Amino acid sequence: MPAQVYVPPVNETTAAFQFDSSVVMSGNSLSSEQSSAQPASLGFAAATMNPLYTSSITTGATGTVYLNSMMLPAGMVISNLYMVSLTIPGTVTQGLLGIYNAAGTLVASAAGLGAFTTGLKQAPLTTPYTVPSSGMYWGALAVSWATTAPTFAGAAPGAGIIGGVPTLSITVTPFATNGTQASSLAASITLASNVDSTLAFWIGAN
Amino acid sequence: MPVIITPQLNQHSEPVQFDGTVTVAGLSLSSRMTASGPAQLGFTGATCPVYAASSTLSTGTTGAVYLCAMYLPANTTLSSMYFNVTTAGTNTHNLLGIYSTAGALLASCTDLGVISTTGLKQGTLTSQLVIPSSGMYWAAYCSVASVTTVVSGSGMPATLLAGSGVTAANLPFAINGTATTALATTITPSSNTATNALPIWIGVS
Repeated sequence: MPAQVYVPPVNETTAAFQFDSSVVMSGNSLSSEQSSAQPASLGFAAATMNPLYTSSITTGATGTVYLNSMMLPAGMVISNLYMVSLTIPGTVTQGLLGIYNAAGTLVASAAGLGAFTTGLKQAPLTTPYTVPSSGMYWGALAVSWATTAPTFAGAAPGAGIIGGVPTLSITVTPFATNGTQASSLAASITLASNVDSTLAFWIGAN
Repeated sequence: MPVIITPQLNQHSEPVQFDGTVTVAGLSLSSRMTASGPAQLGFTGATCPVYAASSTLSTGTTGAVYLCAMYLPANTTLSSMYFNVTTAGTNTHNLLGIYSTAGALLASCTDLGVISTTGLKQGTLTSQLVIPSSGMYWAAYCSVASVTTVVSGSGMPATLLAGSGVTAANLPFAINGTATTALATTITPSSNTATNALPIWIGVS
């Protein structure tokens, strides 16, 4: 059966669309790509990566602020952020989660989790966040710990590729560190100070 | 509430093709589609991206029926199911099938019987299955074994398998009862459990 070439009704829209037939894009089957579970299958409206791609990663220095990109659609309302704590060999004293926009402004944050245990950690935002425009945001995570670094769900891409093409600005790198914070996330960060990170944390949102 | 787009004409089920650059949520969906997916390997669908199926999963309790979500468009025709054995163990039956979200066994493969070698295993559906409506289905796998069969799948942490606020009947990865020589013709999805579930790679074509 030949494919029909679909012409969207408008170039820009915030309406949600649903496709129920096979979808081919750039000659590749989007339907087969979409055949495996996605964040929504597990109750998350958004995530920094598909849960199926995650494994265990070990945090770096205590308090390091990790920025993990999430592409969010305009109008999405986020009330909770999540991270997955897998092992805590020593102790943890604080867990911080928040969302920075592409200008480096902390647009949403949760109260510090304090000392936490292993498992899926839910952090309710102090105020639900309505995404103002579609694009890249960073899910920020900072964990303070002592003795031995804890582990979390995420991925550890190769150091050679995490920074992307050589011309990619550090201010838009999807996975980065940006300083350290012990008790709360900074109200703003200087994106030019981002450093590419080989640790990509899974952060969920709903 | 999503707007349901029926391409071009009402009640048509022709595939839709996009040849321009498509951006979703500010991100290029077209760039995502430049990476090879299940289709490049000949699979119509899979429970886990092939490149995320780098872990080895022990299928644990003999006879446990593992359910793994697969999202398929209406009118897709399936003839075969696949999984990848990394350690064969000692087994007597290896069962594959597809359940609807209502818990009905829509299709099943002829029992693969004893599997003593590693590698990709193909099961043939006893009757071709035409997917009746777009949405989630469960690919089911069951190994009856005295020494556990080890298969390929995702290494996602077990902590994430239950997700957030997902009811038992909607779990993408679950265990639902046990089988011995054949998959049950019906299961009760509300009896699904995420405990000990496994994100097994199962492909279909």
